[in-house]
Amino acid sequence: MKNALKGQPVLPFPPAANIGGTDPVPMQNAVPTLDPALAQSPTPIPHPAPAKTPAKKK
Amino acid sequence: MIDRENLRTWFIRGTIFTLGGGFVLFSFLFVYAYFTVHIPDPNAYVNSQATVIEYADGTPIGRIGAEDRVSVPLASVPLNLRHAIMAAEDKNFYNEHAFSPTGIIRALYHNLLGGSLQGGSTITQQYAKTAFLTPQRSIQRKIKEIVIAVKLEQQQSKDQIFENYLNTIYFGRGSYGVQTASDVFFNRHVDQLTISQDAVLASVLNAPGYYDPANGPQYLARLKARWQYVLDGMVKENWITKQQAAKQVFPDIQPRVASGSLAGPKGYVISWVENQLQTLGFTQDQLQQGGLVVKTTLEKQAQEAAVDAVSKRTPVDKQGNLRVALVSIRPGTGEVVAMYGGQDYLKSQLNNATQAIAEAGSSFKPFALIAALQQGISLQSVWDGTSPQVFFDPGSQTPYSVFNYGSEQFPNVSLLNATAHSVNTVFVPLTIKVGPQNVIDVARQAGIPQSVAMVAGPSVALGVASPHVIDLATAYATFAAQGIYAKPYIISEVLGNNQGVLFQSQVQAQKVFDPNVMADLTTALQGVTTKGTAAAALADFPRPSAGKTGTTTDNAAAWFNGYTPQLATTVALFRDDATQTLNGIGGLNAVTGGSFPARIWSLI
Repeated sequence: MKNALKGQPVLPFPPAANIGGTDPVPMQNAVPTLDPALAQSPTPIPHPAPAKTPAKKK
Repeated sequence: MIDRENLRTWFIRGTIFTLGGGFVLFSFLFVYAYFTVHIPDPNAYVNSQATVIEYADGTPIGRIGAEDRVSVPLASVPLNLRHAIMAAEDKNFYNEHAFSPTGIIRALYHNLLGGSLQGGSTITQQYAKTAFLTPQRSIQRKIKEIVIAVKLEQQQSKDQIFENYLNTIYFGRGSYGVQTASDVFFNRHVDQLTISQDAVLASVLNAPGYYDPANGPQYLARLKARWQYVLDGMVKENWITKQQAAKQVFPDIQPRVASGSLAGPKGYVISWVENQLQTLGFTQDQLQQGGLVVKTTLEKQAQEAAVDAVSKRTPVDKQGNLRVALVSIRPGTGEVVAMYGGQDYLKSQLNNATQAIAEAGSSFKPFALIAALQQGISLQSVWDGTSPQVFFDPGSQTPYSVFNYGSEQFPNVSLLNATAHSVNTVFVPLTIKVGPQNVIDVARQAGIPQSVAMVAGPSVALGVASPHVIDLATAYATFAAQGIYAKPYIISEVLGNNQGVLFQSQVQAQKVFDPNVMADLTTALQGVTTKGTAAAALADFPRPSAGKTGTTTDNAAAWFNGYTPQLATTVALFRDDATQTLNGIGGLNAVTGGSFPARIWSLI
């Protein structure tokens, strides 16, 4: 966007609002997890069957 | 002998009867045609012009319309050009009647013998043929042509007919009328033409393709011969002196642009504008002949930057089915400032920016982040970003496995950093925590239309939905506008050929997100451009920026959605076949949103 904005002023974004505060809040257990080995299993997992795996996302 | 004498008598009588009968029949047909052939309003045709599409600053982008024509009054056409055309086509135009009997007889004779239709038409006839009749060659059409020519001469002055003729006749290279021909052949206004240039335009009229020098040296030679013929004709009629003619040098002629008005990237702009005009209720007739002026929201600088950036930073693709799309939108108003829908509209009519769809990948993560912020979840909250992980999906009551890109590990990562590095194993539990339906609701509010199907599951933030590029550009423009959604639009105003305003757009905007939520979202998305997945591509970007990369399964699509306070732009690369990977193009083993898309975004 260097050229599209050429000649226009450099504007800042609004500062962070810090919703929920600035201190770390542990969320590692926010939702239940299952055994990671299930994700690596090359064979169909017995009941309950796994949903389709969305592979690499970035 | 008697039999022979009788035979001769009968032959003479038969010939007289046939000729006489033919004459009576022809006269009857002519009179019948005279009273039954209707002349369409000539002014309506002559005044009909293409719709001109303009950038926001008034610079023309292109035209909609079968004919590229700009009408000019006769007074603007130099006398020398008028004389040159008369010398080439009809020297006696001002002194003769509507049609030339000898020319017609010659034409009929050749047509009856099945030969090619001969010339000899007067300027009035040529105008009648050009303006009101089809190119079909038949006796019936020839009679109609004569009838219309006669009627025209009764209704209009010679000057009016000549002006209409000059504004409608075809000069080749897609140009109708002297003004457009002047532009196309000499890149100047008709009143700036020299005698030499006048003679060229008069020469090509006779058979534009046959005399176009762009077709080869022999065509140039023909044109030069015809050009000399025209100059000689002007001398013969005392319209110029011998000395003037002798001084003329054959002029330089502009190279032919080997493309139609829809060729190249601008074809997608013109096509989309046409589509939007039809949505607004303008008819095809209005678009083709109404002489409308359509002012768009596109900014010339941004649009040219977009085409240039895509051209310079799109890698060479050996497969040949790579699609690149870009849309820039002004936050808060929805004005489409730039759009790249493809390389050449003549080759592919699918607009990559507004019609094609592709999986969005992690471009959707901000929607989950917004839903989280709305529920008071802090950017400083700490999550387990190790990979792989398996979660229990409460919706489907099944386990849901998720991996990070490249199986990267992010133990105890803040939501801020998880956004910067696009950590899947954080955004899936985040989505489950905030509720997948809430994520979808946020996406809809931001600008993802109902036509884009989304399933309320843990994968929604990973972007398994397939939006248009303009949809995501709209959503990120909502972020840049601090929570103001604005419906995207490209047409700002439509003027009629009398300069009256036929349509004026109105910004359709509404507040959909809290500014504090947007401030924290932007803070997180700034991490993407400064230390995250797009940092390398944007290292030298000289402004504060925020954005999000998106790369889908097997690298089949790669996105970068980013914004500054003034402008939001989405860039996407994908293929015709959504199952084919982008990997390998440009020598990259892994084409991600942080590679070519972010590089294009930076340059535009």
